[in-house]
Amino acid sequence: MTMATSQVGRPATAHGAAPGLPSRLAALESLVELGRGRVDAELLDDTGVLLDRAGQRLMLSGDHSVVALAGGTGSGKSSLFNAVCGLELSPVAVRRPTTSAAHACVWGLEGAGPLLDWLNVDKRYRYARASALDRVATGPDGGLAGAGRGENSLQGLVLLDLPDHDSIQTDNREEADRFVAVADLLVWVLDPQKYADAALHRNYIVPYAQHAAVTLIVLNQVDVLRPEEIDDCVADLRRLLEAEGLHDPHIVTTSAVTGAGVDDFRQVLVDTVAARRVRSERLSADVDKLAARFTDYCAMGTVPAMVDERRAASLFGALTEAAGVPAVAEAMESAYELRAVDYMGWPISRAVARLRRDPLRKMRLTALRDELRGAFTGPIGAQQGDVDNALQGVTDGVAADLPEAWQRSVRRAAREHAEELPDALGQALKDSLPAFNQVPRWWWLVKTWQYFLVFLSLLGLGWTLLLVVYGVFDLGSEPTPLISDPGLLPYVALVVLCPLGIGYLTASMCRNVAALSAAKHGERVEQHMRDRIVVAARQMVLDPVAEELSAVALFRAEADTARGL
Amino acid sequence: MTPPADQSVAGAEQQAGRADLERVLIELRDQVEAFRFVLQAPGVEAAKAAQLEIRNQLDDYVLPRIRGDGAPLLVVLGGSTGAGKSTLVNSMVGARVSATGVLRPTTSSPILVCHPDHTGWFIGANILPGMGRVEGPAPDAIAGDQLVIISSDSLPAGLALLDSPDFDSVFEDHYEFAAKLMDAADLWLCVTTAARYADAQVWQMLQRAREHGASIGVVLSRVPQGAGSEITEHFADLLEEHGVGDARQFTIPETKIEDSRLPEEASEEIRSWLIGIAEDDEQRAEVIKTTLGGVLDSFRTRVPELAKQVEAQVEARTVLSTEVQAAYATALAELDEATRNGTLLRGEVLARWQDFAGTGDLVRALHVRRGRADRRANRRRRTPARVRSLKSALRSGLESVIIAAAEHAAEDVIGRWRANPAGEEMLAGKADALRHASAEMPRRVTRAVSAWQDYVLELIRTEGVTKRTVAKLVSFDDEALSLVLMVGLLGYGTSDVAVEEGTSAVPQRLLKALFGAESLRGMSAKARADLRSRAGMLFDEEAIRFGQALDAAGVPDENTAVQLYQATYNLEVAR
Repeated sequence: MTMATSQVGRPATAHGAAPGLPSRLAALESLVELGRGRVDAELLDDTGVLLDRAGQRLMLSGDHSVVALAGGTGSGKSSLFNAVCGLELSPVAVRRPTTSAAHACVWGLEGAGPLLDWLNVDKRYRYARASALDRVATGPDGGLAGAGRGENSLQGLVLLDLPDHDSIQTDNREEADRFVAVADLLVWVLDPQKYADAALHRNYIVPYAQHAAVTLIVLNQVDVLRPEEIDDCVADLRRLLEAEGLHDPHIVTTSAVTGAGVDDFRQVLVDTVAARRVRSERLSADVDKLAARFTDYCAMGTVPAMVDERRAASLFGALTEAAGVPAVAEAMESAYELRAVDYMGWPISRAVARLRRDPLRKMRLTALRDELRGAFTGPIGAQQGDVDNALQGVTDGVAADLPEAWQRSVRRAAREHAEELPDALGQALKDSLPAFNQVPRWWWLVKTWQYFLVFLSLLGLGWTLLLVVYGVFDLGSEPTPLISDPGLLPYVALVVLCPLGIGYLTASMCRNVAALSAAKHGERVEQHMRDRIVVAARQMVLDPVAEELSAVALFRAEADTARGL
Repeated sequence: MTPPADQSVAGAEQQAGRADLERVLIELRDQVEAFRFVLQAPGVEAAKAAQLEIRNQLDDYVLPRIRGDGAPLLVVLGGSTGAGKSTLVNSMVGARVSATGVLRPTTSSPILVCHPDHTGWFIGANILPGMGRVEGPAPDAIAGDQLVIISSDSLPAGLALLDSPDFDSVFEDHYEFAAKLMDAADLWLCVTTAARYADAQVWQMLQRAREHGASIGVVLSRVPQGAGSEITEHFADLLEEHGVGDARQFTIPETKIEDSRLPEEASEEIRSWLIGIAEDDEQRAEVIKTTLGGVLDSFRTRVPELAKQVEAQVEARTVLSTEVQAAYATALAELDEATRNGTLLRGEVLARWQDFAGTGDLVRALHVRRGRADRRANRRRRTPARVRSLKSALRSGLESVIIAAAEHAAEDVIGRWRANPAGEEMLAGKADALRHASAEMPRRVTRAVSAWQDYVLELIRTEGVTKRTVAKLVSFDDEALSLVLMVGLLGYGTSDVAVEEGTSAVPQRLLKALFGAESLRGMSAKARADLRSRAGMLFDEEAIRFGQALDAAGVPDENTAVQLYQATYNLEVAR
């Protein structure tokens, strides 16, 4: 019991190394999904068609093998069909072309109905062992036993007699093509006169060269050749087929007229039906052929996971430039210094400056000055042009080794957010600004100190006035010597001048300090901005690229599975 | 009865007419040869084949025929593989001149059999001058395009038989030979079999022979015994249906082949018919004349058809160059948009502007007028660092917008061309070079933008007539103001817009106050137009690259088509 199981299981495990048909079909399905918008649409459509067909065929009877007799007009498809069936089911004639609709003969009707419906064989041309053939089996024929055994061993065969593919009746070709596309086993019926026809080789043998496992070549009408000519002819045909890529073709010679070779052909059919493999082999061959078309999309070494560091760095650099980070930092420094002067400048020199002639006032545009002051609204976005140019070369390095289609898709991924990037960069910059708009506490202290000094010198000035009024000119009474003693004047003058001097010195010193701290601040903020830009660039450029690259890698993996690697 | 003098006059006239016809035909040949189909368009493959066919037929058949009066009748046997062409030739010659066999295809080199008197004429490469000659009997190995010439006494002097390769086997060169030889035939004998007569290929070839003006005979061979009449009748119906019903029909039954020959009675009918034509001078001349006439008639439709395809090429080219124009027009519109909607006033340009305006450098660029000396002193003052930074930021901002637009356009063109089969082909091998803006583009752009900045500065100097009321009070720094004008122009859209409150309108308000609305509008319009024309020129230079790619391909022009029509007309006149 266990022995039996393991024996049954063996082919599956032996197959285990290479992916089986179901997993290859699944891989194709995910290729279709991944490939949308990235891969040639026609290829994806073809894949979709194959997946549909495979799904339908796999749902229909697996006990039946669909064998199609195809070939040129006059090669004897119908004669062979009748010879295998043992009955004149398909009309045979010398008038060309003879058959214009496919005939089908089924051995073992159970479950074959839906299959024949799917194959879309005209109900008038369906024959079954249960009807016409039974009569043969039960007929008063001497070869009853032999025929009966033959029928039995063909159980599960759906034999199709197709119209020709090369006559002036173009409808016939369409009809034949329809069946050639879906049959499990393709039997090409050739004859000595037509075996080298371009119509057959170019349109069928070459395109179906990969279907060698489910292709059978029958050289019919060998009765017209002498025995020694048959071998020459078969050898020539074999050479021709192999040259066209049909490896190790299985060639059977028959003569429907004399009956020679028909039994061999029948035996091949018996074996085929018994093995019940052609259905999946046919689909595997289809998958092989289709998956090979994905090869172009897989011609690459290892897919890089990321944009390399050097290019990433140059992208960051370019985006930093695009957002004008150094300029923003400089403008911020200027603003910082200006604000520092507002706070810590020597009030008296400012008052003096205001007295100077002002062109804006002359132009009645004084309001403009404040507006200009308010111009520091902070950075707004980045140049779209610069951003576009920065994105231009990002993917060159990673995509260079990829096939053209992936180069395009990776490039597209890099540009996906190109439109939003300027605003995002602007936002990133804005986030780093608050640090700049803060007013350090010591500015207040200095400001207070400056006004205190101003107050002090004003006080001294008042004192001087009093001394002048009461002491020098000796006006009125002298309430106290403090304001009447002219000898105090030099000291009081010191009280006036010292704050003035100290204030001026403080202002210039603070300006230097402010300039220093502005530079330091500028550097810090610039660094902060750079960091934010790196984050934004990763988010909006590098991550989409990495995602696309991983999609490429996944696609490749799936394509490999589909190709049976 | 005609006096000999008249005859010679008529002969001379005929001579002149023939020389004329020959000249016209040579002209036609040269014109057909003179161009190539390079762009992918519907039917172009067929047109290429037709072009080659017409040229070959002129060289191989028409010209030799017109020059060589009195040459033998050339009967070409064409047909399916395995139809027994070689067997038929052998039977008619009465000797095994062409190999026969069961391996398909059997005959790979054309074999010509003629009377010894004419061997010289055929070896002299009069007819089919493009093919090599080998004097028979056929050696075993013959290079592809060799014509094997065998002389035989059993043929009458006026007849030559040519056993051509099949037209339907896997060997494509066989088809090419068969077609070429068909075009060179005075009489084309199509040999097919009972098993094949419904093959599509047979009827395509008959159709082709009819279109090319050949005289046709049809042989149905290997007709099984007893099935004769049904097949022959069906075949005759089909011939009628396909418009070749008037061709002479023969039937050969399936018989024993001995020594590569049919029994005598099987081929006798064909043989005697051919010999009858060949030996009767009048009949022979009639057949030759009919075929030649048919071929020349066929040029009436074939050459104009070729001309139509040439027109299609011209059309395809126009479509491609229109795509280029459209793409660069889009680029220019993109640039217009970018310089109008304020997107330029971002990033570095904005930062530099803020720096320049906010720190008071802008205000310092205005001076309260004191005197002449003062003004001169101002001129000499060094440009402040911020002005220079703003200027270069503006320049690089503008540059990158222009370059980005050019890049988009180049890619756009590639995309548009890729969508078009003709364009797809044009791009083969060139796509990488064309995808990006050209290498000189950045340099050109830098030059153009600097030139534009100089132009704006010049505008401020020459046209910036300060309002009189202001001029008395304030003077200004030209360079700084030119930057203000640029910022206003590029960053805040047209200066025509109503002045709004807020920082956005700062440059306009300042400029308006200085120059007055009228003057400002004029300057803005001029500056903008100048920028546009410079950018337009840059894009034109970029677009030229695609034009060059098209030119390099050598697409035929309209003249070619006209010349072809003209040549057809000339031929009609000469006949």
